[in-house]
Amino acid sequence: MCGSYLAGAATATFAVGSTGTLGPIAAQTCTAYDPNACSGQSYGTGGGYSYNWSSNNTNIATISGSSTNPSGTFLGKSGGTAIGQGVIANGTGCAFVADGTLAVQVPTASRITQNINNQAISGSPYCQAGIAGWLRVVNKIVTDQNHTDMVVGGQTLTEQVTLPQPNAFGISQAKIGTATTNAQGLFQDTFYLCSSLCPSSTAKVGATQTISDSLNGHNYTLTNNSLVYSCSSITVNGQ
Amino acid sequence: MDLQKQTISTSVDTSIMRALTNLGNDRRIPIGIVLEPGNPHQLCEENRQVTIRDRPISDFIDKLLAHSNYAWSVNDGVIVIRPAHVTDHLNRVLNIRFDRFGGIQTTMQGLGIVLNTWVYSRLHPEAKGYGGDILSSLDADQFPHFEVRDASVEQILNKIVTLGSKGMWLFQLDKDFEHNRNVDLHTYSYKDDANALQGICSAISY
Repeated sequence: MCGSYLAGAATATFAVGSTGTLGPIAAQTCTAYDPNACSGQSYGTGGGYSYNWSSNNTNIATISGSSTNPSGTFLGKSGGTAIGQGVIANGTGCAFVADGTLAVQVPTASRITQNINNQAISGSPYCQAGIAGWLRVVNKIVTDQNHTDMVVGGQTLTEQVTLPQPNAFGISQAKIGTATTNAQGLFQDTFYLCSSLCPSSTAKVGATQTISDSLNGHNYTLTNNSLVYSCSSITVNGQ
Repeated sequence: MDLQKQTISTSVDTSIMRALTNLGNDRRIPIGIVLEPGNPHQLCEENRQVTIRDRPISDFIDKLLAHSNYAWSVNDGVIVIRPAHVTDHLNRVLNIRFDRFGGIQTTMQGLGIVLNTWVYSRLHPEAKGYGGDILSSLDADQFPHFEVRDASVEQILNKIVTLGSKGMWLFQLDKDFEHNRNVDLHTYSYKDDANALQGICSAISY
């Protein structure tokens, strides 16, 4: 044995409270036709080797379960990046190291991934008879502390929408829903306004949307979104 | 729905609300609950120990609601649980009629949110509009063609929770309704809103 490498994942991106896996780590060997190079790769990852995994920052990620498997599984403790280090050794005391990157994500904000519907509405079935407004439907995803999408299913989302009182449309309450992200980390958000002032009014009403994300037993309040309701558009953070 | 013919064997030691939610979810039985104004937390706060074996579901519900302020009936295929004494205000709001109720393409929970805004609009004619924001799961069932004609609020709620995988509705009147005319209603799908149903008591806002 003359070296080691990560035969599997060299980077693991996972949410706080979840686990991610590096490896497996494998040995490199010398070959008879070029004994001074360390380019040969051993077949298989077991048999005759021992393994040991560790994290260089246990505040961010710690070993989850056994540290002596060919692959290293880590538990996210807080947001950030750490190095997961695997050591492979043979029976003669020869050992080599291979490092991987552990990126631990914390739910921080949300962003629109796709516009599904963005249209003027009037009367039934959208509004009550005689009044009109606007409908906006978007797909969204939660993003982490580095603005990277969190492809994590099972996040439970609740929200609050705060409207200034009074406001031009006389809306005193915006009713809200709850959601769970799918396997791609996506959820849907539907905004609508119905008003007797529409479609002619040019009034705009700003609102603040606060989404709370429950993930692995922890609650995170995402960065507020700025909503603007009007007869001719509904925008989210200016989009 | 003949609750005399459907039998149940179970043993519960939990709040009335949790027992009802579990019953509805396990059997996919639509349930509606009208909370008692002024004492809306009774169903969440009172525990019941009930053990029953091969008895009609109706017996189980009777035991759950015994010594509470609530009675039950089956309306439009929905078990509706309401205060034994229904106030005039409650009756008036539950019987508000709409010539035609439809909605945007949305989920069972979303339909309840839309209905909530329609009721709000009817009770607050001085308001020039209403709006909503509906978070939903992409995997949730959507009901794009839902429409009910000439129906009361309660009938619309019953229609909503008999859709798809069935669900539960919760209706409450603000204890100061006489002054602020505020009501709150929620609809939950057993399939899509399991988390919200687990926390249904936190939805009691008045």
